[in-house]
Amino acid sequence: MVRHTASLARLSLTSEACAALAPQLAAIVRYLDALDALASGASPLDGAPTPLDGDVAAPSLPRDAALAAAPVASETGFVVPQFVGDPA
Amino acid sequence: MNLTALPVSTLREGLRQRRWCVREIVDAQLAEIARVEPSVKAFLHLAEASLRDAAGALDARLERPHAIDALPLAGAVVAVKDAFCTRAMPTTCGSKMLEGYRAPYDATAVERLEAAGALLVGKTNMDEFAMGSSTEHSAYFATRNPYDLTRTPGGSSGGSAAAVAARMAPVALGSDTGGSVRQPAALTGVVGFKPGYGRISRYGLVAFASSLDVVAPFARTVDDVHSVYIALAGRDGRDPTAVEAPVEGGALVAAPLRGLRVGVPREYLGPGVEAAVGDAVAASLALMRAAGAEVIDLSMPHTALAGPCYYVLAPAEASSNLARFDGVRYGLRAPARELLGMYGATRDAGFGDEVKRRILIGTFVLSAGYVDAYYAQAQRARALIADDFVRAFARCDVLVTPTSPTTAFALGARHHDPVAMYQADLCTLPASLAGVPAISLPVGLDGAGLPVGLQLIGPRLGERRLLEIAAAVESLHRQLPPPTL
Repeated sequence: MVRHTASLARLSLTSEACAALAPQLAAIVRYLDALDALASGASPLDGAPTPLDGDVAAPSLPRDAALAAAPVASETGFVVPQFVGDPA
Repeated sequence: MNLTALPVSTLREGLRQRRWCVREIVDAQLAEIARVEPSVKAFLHLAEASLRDAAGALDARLERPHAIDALPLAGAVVAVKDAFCTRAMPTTCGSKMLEGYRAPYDATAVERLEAAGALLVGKTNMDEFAMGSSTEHSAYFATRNPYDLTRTPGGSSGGSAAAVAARMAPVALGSDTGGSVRQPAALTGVVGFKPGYGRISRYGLVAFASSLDVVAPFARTVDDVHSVYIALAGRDGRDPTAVEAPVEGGALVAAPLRGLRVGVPREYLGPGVEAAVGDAVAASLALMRAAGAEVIDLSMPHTALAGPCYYVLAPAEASSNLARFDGVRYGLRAPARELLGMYGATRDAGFGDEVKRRILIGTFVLSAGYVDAYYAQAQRARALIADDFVRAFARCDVLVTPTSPTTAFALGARHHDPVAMYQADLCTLPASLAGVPAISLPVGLDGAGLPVGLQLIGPRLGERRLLEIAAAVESLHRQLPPPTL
């Protein structure tokens, strides 16, 4: 369960980390199982809807400012490792 | 005159009467920080030079007649939890994932503090991404409780709480998702006020659980948290969840206690509550009763569901919010030859153990085959908990509970037992799930000299009334002695 969930969460865990996490997560899930006692017919929370903004163009973060925090960037965008085809 | 001991209102009045200037306030605070910070370790970043510059600029501004009238927090030195984006200082959120990160904008709360005349002294330590109740889950170091340096200040806003308790700042900013301001306030003997959901814009607050996150101030008096709240609250077009309801300003006047209906839900005083905490709550209730309040025993039957409910919903939302930390746009990147490998390696290297646990739990409860059993059930539990509050406030004006079942626990005592750590929030979680305002007040010390906090909870949009009641309850108690450092 830990390795599958980690893959869904995009976490590359070592085997040692998975082994250490397994009993901790099992204990947490047992704690959460108290919700089983709740009748499934109860209604979920019906919160107030979030108001929508008008569809109006507004200034955004300047490109240079957005790129300045990136670990790797070119002058025009974020640079990422290859994701199409076989890695070089 | 020890300027570090004074509340914001007194500091501001002294500025108005020219009894001192902003530079003197700042010098006093920085001297106190230099003296106690090496033992308390409340700050991840100190901005001494920019603080002195800002003090000089504010002194020059205050030369103009009546300039102070537009600055309700003039001269207030503020410590800010490192979860708020600041252009002038790093923002790490207590994580190696954001080590060295410099945000390109200020959080709305930070903008409004500075617009009100407050001066930022630094960024405070916290549990990584606000996930924890002891500040031990910071990726950098643990903060220590000023009343006992072998104990935790609570968390996740433990650095802000410790800074105020240790007189390093009169007020501080934190964020409260399930108790992350009220619980550390209780453990360090200061006031922590969580407004209702949506009262203060979260723009620029690094998101943890978006249906629960609230910006919340610390101070040493109710009047000071009120002043900060008034300066920060109100609609902000950059946070669509900020509520439209008007915020009532003006001086805070303590409410009359005679005839006040004080509800005491018995589920908060169960066997997990330490005797010293229960005794302090009982003593406080006796003072309220003697002042004319009517104390009403009542039941909020779904309180026990709050823990499991919160620890489904908050990790579920966190697992989604923290998906943005992928090594592309900001923060850490681990080297890898292809994209998915880079995501995984970056997140493994950048997140600490508690954050990984919560991401895994959140991903699990949202995954196919489990979402109905956990996430949908938790949403139902949340509705029942919120309904408990509606029913309770039909019978009373305010609810009184312990803030924390225990006083400050020893550093390391719960660090490797997540479920034991989660118990620290049991009294604060229900108000977070219901979205109602709540405040923690210091009401005494236990036999070991550790502070005890009392939680007052008000109805939705009832912040003003709750603060008036809190001011009245505060006046029934002697101020705690400052920690010996």
